Amino acid sequence: MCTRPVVQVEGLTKEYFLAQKTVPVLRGVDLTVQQGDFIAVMGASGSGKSSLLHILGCLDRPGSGSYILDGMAVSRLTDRQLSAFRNSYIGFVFQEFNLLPQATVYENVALPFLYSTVDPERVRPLVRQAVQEVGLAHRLDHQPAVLSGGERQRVAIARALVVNPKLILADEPTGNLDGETSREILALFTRLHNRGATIVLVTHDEEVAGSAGRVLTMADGRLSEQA
Amino acid sequence: MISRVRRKYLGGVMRIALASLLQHRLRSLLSVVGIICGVSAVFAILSIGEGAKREVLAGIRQLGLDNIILRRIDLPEPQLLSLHNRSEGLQAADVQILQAASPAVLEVAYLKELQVRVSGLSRQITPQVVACSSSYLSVQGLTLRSGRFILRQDQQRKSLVCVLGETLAGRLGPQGRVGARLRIENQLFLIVGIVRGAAPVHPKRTGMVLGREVNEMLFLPFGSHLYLSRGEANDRGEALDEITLKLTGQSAVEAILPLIHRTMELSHHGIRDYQLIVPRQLMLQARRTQRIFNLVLGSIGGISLVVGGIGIMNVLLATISERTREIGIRRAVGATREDIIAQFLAEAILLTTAGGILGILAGLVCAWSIARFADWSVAITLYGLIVPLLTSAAVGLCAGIYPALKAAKMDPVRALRSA
Repeated sequence: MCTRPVVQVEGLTKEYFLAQKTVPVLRGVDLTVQQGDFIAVMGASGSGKSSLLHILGCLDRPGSGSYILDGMAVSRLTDRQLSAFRNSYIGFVFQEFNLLPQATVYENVALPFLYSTVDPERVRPLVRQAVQEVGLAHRLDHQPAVLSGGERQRVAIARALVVNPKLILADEPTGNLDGETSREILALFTRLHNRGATIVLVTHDEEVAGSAGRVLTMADGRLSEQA
Repeated sequence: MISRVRRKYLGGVMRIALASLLQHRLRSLLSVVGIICGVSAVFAILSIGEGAKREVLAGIRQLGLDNIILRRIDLPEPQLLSLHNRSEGLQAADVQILQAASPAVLEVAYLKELQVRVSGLSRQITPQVVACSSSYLSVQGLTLRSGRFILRQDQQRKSLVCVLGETLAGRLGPQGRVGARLRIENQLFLIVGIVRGAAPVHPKRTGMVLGREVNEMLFLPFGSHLYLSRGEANDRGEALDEITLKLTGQSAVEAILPLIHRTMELSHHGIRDYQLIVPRQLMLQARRTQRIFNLVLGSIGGISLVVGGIGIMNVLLATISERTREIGIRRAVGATREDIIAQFLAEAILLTTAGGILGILAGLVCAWSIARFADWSVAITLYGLIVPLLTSAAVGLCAGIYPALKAAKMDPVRALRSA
């Protein structure tokens, strides 16, 4: 099979400036993500996993190295183009759910469409489908405040799914959830993976990483395949 | 034409803006108090100004914009005695001279006020009796309700006829019909007609009454009044109180004015025993005054709007640091910097426009109270509604632009990590 990789990263570096000191976070990361991969990136906190995820998600730009997302060199894109990529290519799931508190489940899931050019007629069925997929069809008109942690994360996953992204990025998606709920959320990710979604998940939890097809470890700003 | 996607976008942005404003109702309301005050002040000022303007202009218009009016001035007694030989106030002779002064003078009407008693009337009815020329009807733009006005022949024959103003005729009842006779002093006058004219305006604040209550007046042919026994009527019987020149048009007014001045100066030997009233000039002056009034008071209201705008900006800046994470979330799902700017500008404009609407409502109450309790006239115009509304939206735009830019410049990663 000769498909184009979704993500192709070579020699990626990133450094931050803190108190007039340069702190390198990524020191040459190489990573290829194929269509349909489910990859877990493990590592201690501060190892640079989240930074990598932000770059993969077009929220941040790499310091040097190349990042090709679906055949496009991301480092050269303008802010507007990056926004468009985030909008239609990437789905984010965060540890803190990051839902808009004043908006309903429906409005939260429909949020990406506010910034897209998708025909308004098509938005409602797409949102319903995504919410159904995470099993919250009965909660459409509720605000996040009345939902449990697990339900909130499902809403966030629905928001990530709704645009049918090429890549779903999850940053410690179970970090704020108890064991039972975590397992449910992981089962949801596995189901999405089985349906063909490409997922990169960052975690420091062995059990969470266990559900991924491929586990990578981040240490000292470099990525290595786990034995 | 806005595409469907664009319309959905605008609707979405507005809905979110509204939701976030409603989330902090009290804060939104308090932040917009300055705008409400400013707009209501501007609105009330514009309404009052407009009311005053209309009143004054209506009063002036009633005099006739293509007319020039000369009115007698009573000189103080000693001056009068010493001047008596040289000038005797407005005279029939002036009418002749003015008529011949320029082809731009279409018609001349003149009038003398009479202090006479009309017999057989109840005490409440005290008509102003005047002796006037037959031209008074057309020069003053009066309309005949019935019968006829005073004719030239009436003047020549000194006929004992009279014409009533409409209101007066109505109040007299059967006594005031055409064909009935009225006793004025020692003579019986036949009522030959009833006329109606525009009611004069009494600008309440200026207190000036420019026009005459023609509907309350009783007109006699000039000349016939000499038959009246009252000594006063015969004393200086030919002296006039008012001469009105009707010109060919408004544009003729300025051109002919110097000529009138010179003619009158010559025939009155330089004695100013008359007053020249030029309605057109009065109107231009009233408009100028009005503009200055609007500008000065409007600026004061404008200051309040600026202060209100600063209040809005302050609140928006506070809101942004509170909503950093929301900005991060929006950026993460694909909002561009422009989208964030649009979002915050929409909130600012929505806030100030809502303030503008509330301000107009407050201004309406204000204007109404002033009209009701101070007895001033107010007028609400479309202009008076649109200007404060647009101004408040503009204030929102100005106050919102800096906070919006600040929000848009935020780094999405940091915004997402904020507490």
